[in-house]
Amino acid sequence: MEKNKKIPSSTNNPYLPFFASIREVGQQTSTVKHFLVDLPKENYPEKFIPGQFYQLSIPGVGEAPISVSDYDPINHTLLFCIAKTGVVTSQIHTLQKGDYLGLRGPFGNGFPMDTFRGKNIVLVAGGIGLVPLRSVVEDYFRNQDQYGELEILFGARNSQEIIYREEMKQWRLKKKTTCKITIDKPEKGWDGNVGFVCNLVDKSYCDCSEVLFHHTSPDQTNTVILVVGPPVMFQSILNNLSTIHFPDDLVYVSLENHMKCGIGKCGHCNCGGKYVCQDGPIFSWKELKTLEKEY
Amino acid sequence: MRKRLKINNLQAFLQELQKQATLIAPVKTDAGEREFRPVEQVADIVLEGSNPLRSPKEYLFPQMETLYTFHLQKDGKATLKETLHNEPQIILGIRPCDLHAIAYVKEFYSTTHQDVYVLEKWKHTILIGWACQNPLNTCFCTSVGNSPVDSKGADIMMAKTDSFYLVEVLTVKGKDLIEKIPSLLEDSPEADNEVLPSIQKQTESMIREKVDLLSIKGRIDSAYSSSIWKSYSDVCIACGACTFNCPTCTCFDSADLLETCQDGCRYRTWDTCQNYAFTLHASGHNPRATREARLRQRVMHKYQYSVEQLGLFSCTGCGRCTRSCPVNIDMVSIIKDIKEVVDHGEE
Ligand SMILES: Cc1cc2nc3c(=O)[nH]c(=O)nc-3n(C[C@H](O)[C@H](O)[C@H](O)COP(=O)(O)OP(=O)(O)OC[C@H]3O[C@@H](n4cnc5c(N)ncnc54)[C@H](O)[C@@H]3O)c2cc1C
Ligand code: SF4
Ligand code: FES
Repeated sequence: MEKNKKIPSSTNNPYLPFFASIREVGQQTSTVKHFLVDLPKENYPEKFIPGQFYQLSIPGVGEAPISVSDYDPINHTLLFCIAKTGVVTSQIHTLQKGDYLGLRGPFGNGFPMDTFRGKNIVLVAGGIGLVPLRSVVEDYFRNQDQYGELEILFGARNSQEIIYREEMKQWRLKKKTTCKITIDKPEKGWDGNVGFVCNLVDKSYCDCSEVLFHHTSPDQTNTVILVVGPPVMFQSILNNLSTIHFPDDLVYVSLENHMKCGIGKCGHCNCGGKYVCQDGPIFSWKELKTLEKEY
Repeated sequence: MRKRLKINNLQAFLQELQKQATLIAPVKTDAGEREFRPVEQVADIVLEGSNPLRSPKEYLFPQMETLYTFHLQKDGKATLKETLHNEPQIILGIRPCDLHAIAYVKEFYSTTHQDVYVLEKWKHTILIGWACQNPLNTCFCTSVGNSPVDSKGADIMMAKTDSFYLVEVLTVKGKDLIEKIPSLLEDSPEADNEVLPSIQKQTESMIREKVDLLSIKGRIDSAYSSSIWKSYSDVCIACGACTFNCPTCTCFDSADLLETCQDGCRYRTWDTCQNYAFTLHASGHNPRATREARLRQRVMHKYQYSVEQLGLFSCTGCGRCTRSCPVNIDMVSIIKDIKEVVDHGEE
């Protein structure tokens, strides 16, 4: 970087991206790809918390906030899973192995994993909402002896839109782990669950959550539920949870407000007294109840 | 440290300031308005009169600002060049409402992940305040706990009397500047203690109305579900003028600009929460889809959310939103309604 008197350089500028090279690209569905990138040594995160996100950019095109699916602390790689929704994400989809991605982050609070130790973890994801939750899954398997059981409840619009298909097959085979998938409408060749993912947290549904309803002595205070999906989806999950009086401080939701800066400055994600990018994107249901419904 | 400046020494004083750094002050424009601009000739400066429509905020947080330039290499990697600006500047003639605004903006951008662009400029800026003697009928600084002579945020505060200017030096930055300026200033006698209080009394008597918002500070969210918002948003055309002229609005949008196939920049521009697309999610869902929700957001941010975040109202009572609104939405009327709803509930 050039330095001169008029243009001082600051090493602490949160708006400057660094560049990471892409190690692997893979097609997840027709509109979703995953990208595995190698972090340069000077940009290893001091700490990564599952649920955090990075701002991904291509110079000349723009920036978009994307959740981390996995940070591998040994190989120092980051995994992203990106749906093609507009200008920036479409351009990212054209990138290949060896190309570079601009990155700023990690940003956001992440899930309070420390408070989950010893507890069962139930993940409820709608569509691309599984992306941030995968970082929880990976953390769980790396430290499985510290947690109780893991249950993944996943809903996709149709069988073509199921992401992390191969990974889920592997997760199912692990001990203390269950994985249930549902698709919105019946389909030829699909013999699994049909209907919205909120069914899986409804006691009256035949294949409902194991951890929440089928355990011999379900202990609510020993379970946390993490929900990620569009607002209509998580609202109906929260409604179901209120009918079983599930404690609101043990339920966490990740919000997806429009974001530009990721660091509490541009105002786009402002919701009441909070900046979702910085105070969130993870909020407990209890906190959510006190927040203006502007998410 | 307090000094006096003789009326006929003002021009010499301004010339000395101009020698020290880029001097920004209210000057008369061709359109006959006064605007904060870099001064070419000190004779153009007009300190008296009402507060300019645009605040000096843009000299710390410009309407448009390049964050960095980039040069794309063949492999798709880019070399970046940060474009921080830190040329020394002196902003003169800032009313207390705008001093408060700059203090707020600086505080806001100093939170976690400091905004180096604003803070670098602030570090190299000397703020010279000006006790206000010309309130407009849109002004309501006393409603939010400010006063027309409050010097909070200033490095130096100036006030005009019939026979001299009072020059109060408040910070190290201010002292360093004054010490560079020889012999124009005289000692200020004990009796000058009365200058600011008397201007305050005089100016406050000219302010149209005072709505006591301090007594409901922190409780303003209880008006969130009120019907008052709709009565204003029904006429709002969501033009955003109120937010663009607001001295404490800090929101921005950012984008990339490609100038050649290899060179470009990332820049930011002021943005407005009054725009529908401001909060539009990638999914198409919009948490503030109505004008009612967006107008309430603007007002609630000023009086409730910034109190929750920083303990401060982010409204300084300058009245620029009212001055610039093409459909005459009056902030004083809004805060009167809020106070009524918070104190006595909905009718
Ligand atoms: C915390 C967070 C984590 C996310 N994680 C993922 C993820 O892991 N995978 C994934 O595929 N998507 C994720 N998203 C959504 C993703 O950021 C948007 O799809 C992306 O910003 C759209 O950018 P674009 O330039 O491709 O679309 P554009 O062409 O800019 O616009 C498409 C639509 O997206 C909206 N939009 C534009 N910019 C943003 C923005 N910065 N934030 C939100 N909406 C915006 C626009 O209003 C428009 O409706 C996440 C969003 C947030 C806030
Ligand atoms: S200036 Fe008036 S019309 Fe324009 S957005 Fe503000 S309140 Fe609405
Ligand atoms: S994304 Fe800019 S404030 Fe949250």
